Amino acid sequence: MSQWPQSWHWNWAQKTARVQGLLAFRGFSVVAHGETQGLAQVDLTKSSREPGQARKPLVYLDYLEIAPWNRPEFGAAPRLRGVGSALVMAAVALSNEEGFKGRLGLHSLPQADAFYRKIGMTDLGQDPAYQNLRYFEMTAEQARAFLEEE
Amino acid sequence: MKFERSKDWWMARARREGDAVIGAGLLAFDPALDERASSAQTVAVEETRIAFGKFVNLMRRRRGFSMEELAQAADLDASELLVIEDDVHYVPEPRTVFKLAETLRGVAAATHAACRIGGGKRCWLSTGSRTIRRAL
Repeated sequence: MSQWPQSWHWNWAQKTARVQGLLAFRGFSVVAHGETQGLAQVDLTKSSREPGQARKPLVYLDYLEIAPWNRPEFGAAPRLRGVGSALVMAAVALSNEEGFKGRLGLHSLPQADAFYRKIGMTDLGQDPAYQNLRYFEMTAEQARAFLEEE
Repeated sequence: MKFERSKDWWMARARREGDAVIGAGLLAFDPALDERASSAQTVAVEETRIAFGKFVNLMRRRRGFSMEELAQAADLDASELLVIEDDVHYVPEPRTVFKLAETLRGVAAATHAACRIGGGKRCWLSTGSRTIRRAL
């Protein structure tokens, strides 16, 4: 971790400490070239809001973050692309494994709204209870399309 | 959990992602105002550090102490007193601030020190109507 930027934004130890030991929370990481390239954490206790699948269990993507050197907004070209997609895919695959049929929910960061629309998720609007971040859901049908094989 | 796709499949997804910014959840939300000091706060902290060093220097000279004498009276190292007066980046322990205040109080009855350790972790060293707030 010594080579990581001294950035508050990438303090994974602090973030995991909040849910350590809770079985409902699981984490994913993408590791390449000996470094962690992205992290995600999911919550299996939440239910759907989308009218077509309301109250059905889903995997809630509680946290997803890409390592600063893979993020385009810092100016330099990202070292690796596809890290965010891989983490979302892992969450959808876990949803399938849990019997949730790929259902996924998340609160998007403002810059990421376009990406979640692009991959077919349903935009359920701003959530006042969550600092007005937009809430997105992936239905079982959308999940099937998302994970479709070539 | 097992999820297998071909390399071409993954490459196609990476291309689709392109330069999209991806993030989710409040933990990833930037900025988190409660954990970052603004530049204005940083300047203010530096100013109080300069003021604190100057204040200790002035009080010491007003009482006629040499640096060694004040350090001995306050049970501190003279080297620490030197950096307190001269180095704005040095952050003394609350005990040090308290010992200094206690020693100077012996000379000026109106001088008192109060340290509050906790959320803000701040100390105050004051004499009469002048108060120097020391952000740790």
